[in-house]
Amino acid sequence: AETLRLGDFQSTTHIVSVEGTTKWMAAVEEATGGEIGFEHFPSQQAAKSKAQLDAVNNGILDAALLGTPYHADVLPLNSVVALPGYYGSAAEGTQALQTMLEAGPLRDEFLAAGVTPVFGFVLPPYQVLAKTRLGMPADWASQDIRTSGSTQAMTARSLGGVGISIPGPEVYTAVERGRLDAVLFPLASVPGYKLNEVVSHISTNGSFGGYSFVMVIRSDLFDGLPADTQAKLVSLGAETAAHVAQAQDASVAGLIEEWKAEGIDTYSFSAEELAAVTEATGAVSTDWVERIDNDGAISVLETYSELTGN
Amino acid sequence: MLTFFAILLLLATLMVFRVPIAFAMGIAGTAGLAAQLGMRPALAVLERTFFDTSASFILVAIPLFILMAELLTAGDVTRRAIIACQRWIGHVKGGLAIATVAASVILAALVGSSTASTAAMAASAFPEMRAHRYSDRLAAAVVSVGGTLAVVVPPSIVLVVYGVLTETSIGKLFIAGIVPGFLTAAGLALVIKIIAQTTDQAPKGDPFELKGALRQSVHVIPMVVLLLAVIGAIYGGLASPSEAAALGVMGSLIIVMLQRTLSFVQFGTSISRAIRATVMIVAIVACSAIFSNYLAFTRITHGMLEFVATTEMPRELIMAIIILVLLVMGMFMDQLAILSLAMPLAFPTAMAMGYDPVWFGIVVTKTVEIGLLTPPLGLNAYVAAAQTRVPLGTIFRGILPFLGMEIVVLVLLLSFPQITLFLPELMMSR
Amino acid sequence: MLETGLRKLEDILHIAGCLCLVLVAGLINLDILLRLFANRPVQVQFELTELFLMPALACLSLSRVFRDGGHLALELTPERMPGPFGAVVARLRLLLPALFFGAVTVMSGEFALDAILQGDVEYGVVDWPLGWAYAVVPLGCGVLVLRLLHDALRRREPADL
Ligand code: NA
Ligand code: NA
Repeated sequence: AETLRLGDFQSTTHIVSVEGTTKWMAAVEEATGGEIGFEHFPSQQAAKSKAQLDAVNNGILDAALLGTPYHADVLPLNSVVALPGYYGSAAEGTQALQTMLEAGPLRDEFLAAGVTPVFGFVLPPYQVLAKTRLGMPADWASQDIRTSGSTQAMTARSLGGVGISIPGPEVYTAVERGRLDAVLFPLASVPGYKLNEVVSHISTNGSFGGYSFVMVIRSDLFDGLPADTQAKLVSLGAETAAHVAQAQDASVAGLIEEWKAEGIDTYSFSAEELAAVTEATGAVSTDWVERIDNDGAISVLETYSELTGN
Repeated sequence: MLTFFAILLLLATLMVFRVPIAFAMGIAGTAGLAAQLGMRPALAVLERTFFDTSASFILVAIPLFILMAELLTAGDVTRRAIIACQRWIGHVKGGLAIATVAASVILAALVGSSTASTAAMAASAFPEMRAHRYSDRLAAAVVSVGGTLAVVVPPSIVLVVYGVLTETSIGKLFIAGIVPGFLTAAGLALVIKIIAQTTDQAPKGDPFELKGALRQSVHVIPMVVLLLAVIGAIYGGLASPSEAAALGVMGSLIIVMLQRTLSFVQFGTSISRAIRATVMIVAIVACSAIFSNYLAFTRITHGMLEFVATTEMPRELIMAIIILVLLVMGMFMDQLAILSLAMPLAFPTAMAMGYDPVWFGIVVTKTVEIGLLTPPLGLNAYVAAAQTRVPLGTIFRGILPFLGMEIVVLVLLLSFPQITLFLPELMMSR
Repeated sequence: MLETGLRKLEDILHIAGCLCLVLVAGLINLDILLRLFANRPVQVQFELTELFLMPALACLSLSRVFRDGGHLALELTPERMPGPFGAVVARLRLLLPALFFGAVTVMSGEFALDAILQGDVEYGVVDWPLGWAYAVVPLGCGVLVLRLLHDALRRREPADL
């Protein structure tokens, strides 16, 4: 029997943990009859968000749920998920990510970093939350928009807005007091930050980039496991990935209904608006390929584009 | 378990023999990790702890607010303003300390971090009290305890983190903090009054004279303008708290340049002192992260709270135990580390017993805030000691009566949830 | 001689830390003013502050602050205890932290060196060279180790023993 120390930067109350990480750990413990067990360290208890991958490599942890944007220095190709205009739901994005983690450049990046990806899933696509309805690129001109990371900052800029970095805990007051006009945010995380209390318009069918989580196990440990145990980890992982994606999509649909009832304008972009926005943000993908400066980048983007039907 | 006590003994021994607190926690934490995980992983923890701790935009508020206070003090602005307050109420016994509490409340409305607030008051209010023959013990204690108001009176970084961890409305938490904040301030003033009446630690100031009070009040104007500008920047939407701190530095610099009360050498000294306090605080936070990391791997906190969650005791007793555990953790650890370690278990437990999440948030914040005042790790006392050079032991002794008051306020909040909840309910029901 | 050189080094790092604080205050104010009057922020401000300036101002002065007695300690026992026991305590008080910060220096130093050699970058407003951001930690801690060893091993005046 083996007990794996599993690091996690999310709290146990987050939907990603309830429907994803915790569920998977329980399923694995049951399916392997206790052969594999877990000691779970949520909320960055074992290592900070950015240090999770190093912690697995160094034997501080055996496994970790990585937020790939925290590791863009080591996993640059995996940042393809952050590009705007691709997946339209967590289910669609997760399916694409799972396929790309099975074989190819995204998987190779993890292996080269000394860890094996077991499964991965995405947050529902980022939407825009604002105090006015943002539609055509002209509406976005000079808006102060909270973004996280360079890809999102580029996204805001490609639409004529100004990308501003503000630490997560400060976003609420920044919007409430007008320091920010708009926020690019994953809708599932909106209640955690109570942003629905301070905005009046929330888009529902945009795709302003994404965010991927990947569960990894240290490769020398994973490779030493019996083949059937490995297979169980992976197949239960695939089930969990599909489940947590659906649960998030359903939760977002429920949230949208709640917000509508609260009097918030939850709106869909018209076909014309969507086309104009996608046209404008296309530059972000071009820039990404140039910036990564890696032969794999073009082919990764092509595969990703195909898998998400864009 | 035996290893755990050995590590605690090591920590205590190091601290008793005057190894700096940060170094002691780093050594004990690393030794614990080595015993728990092995030498190589333990050393690997050291790779990036200092970088990950210090590379934080939120932390910028600490050196900047300290620098602002240093500039105002070096440029004689704070002293003149506090003398003005003293002219109005200083003739009363303990009046100057009570004026300090009032100033702490105003500062708390600007600052979200307790240590930043303590540092500012220690640099400005403390020297005035010392000059008026207040005992070091009382003056440094008032500054340390007054600083804790910053995390209850909004804005508060601790409340925001609690709200994020537990998905509780930050808007409600902020409103809910107001009454407990003023209650604490009133309690503080009461204890000062009692000490002033019964001992000679807080002597009477100069007799009251209206003309002098009015004339001296002119000097309050720049201070008030600055506070309004900083408050205005946050509430008017121009700046986040860290950015407002930078505006405060610029504003202070402009004031002291207009007054021509700051030399270039004093400017350099102010910066140097701000760096000094920041280095000390960040070293403690980084090393306490190593120690917290060790605690996480022992699963001791986990086991303790899990036991509380599964037993069949009455809910009041369980709540009392949770509060006690948090108080004990507060003796050793940083507030945010306590929240992230304990909330995943304590919050669902409290909710399962039917407690209100906003009320629990204020109670938890109040509890971890008391930890800032207790040895061995009482961050506010350390900051006050760093600024004032009063020995730590003296400060901890001075804090003792205020600690009693803090416990009384905590018990009041625990017993009467309406103290915390009536204001948010009033404002949210409209 | 050794003492003079060490002091110089500590002072230079401390001045560098002070300049970082001035830069932080200046950049944030410039950012706010430009946003207010020209509607364009100083894009590099946030990342430069978080990645480079904060770690530098928090780590570079570690040794200078120690020299000035700025790292706080409990004061439960007298500073100098009599006899051979006191002499051992006085040395261990410096040597144990030297061992700890030595480990921090080596580990964080290797970490920074790897990042520099691999050319790790944080993709932000510009490609930030992460290794150089990490390097302030071993620099600050390394000088602190020198200070601790120097104070522990220097010959004591007879009165001190
Ligand atoms: Na506050
Ligand atoms: Na404490």
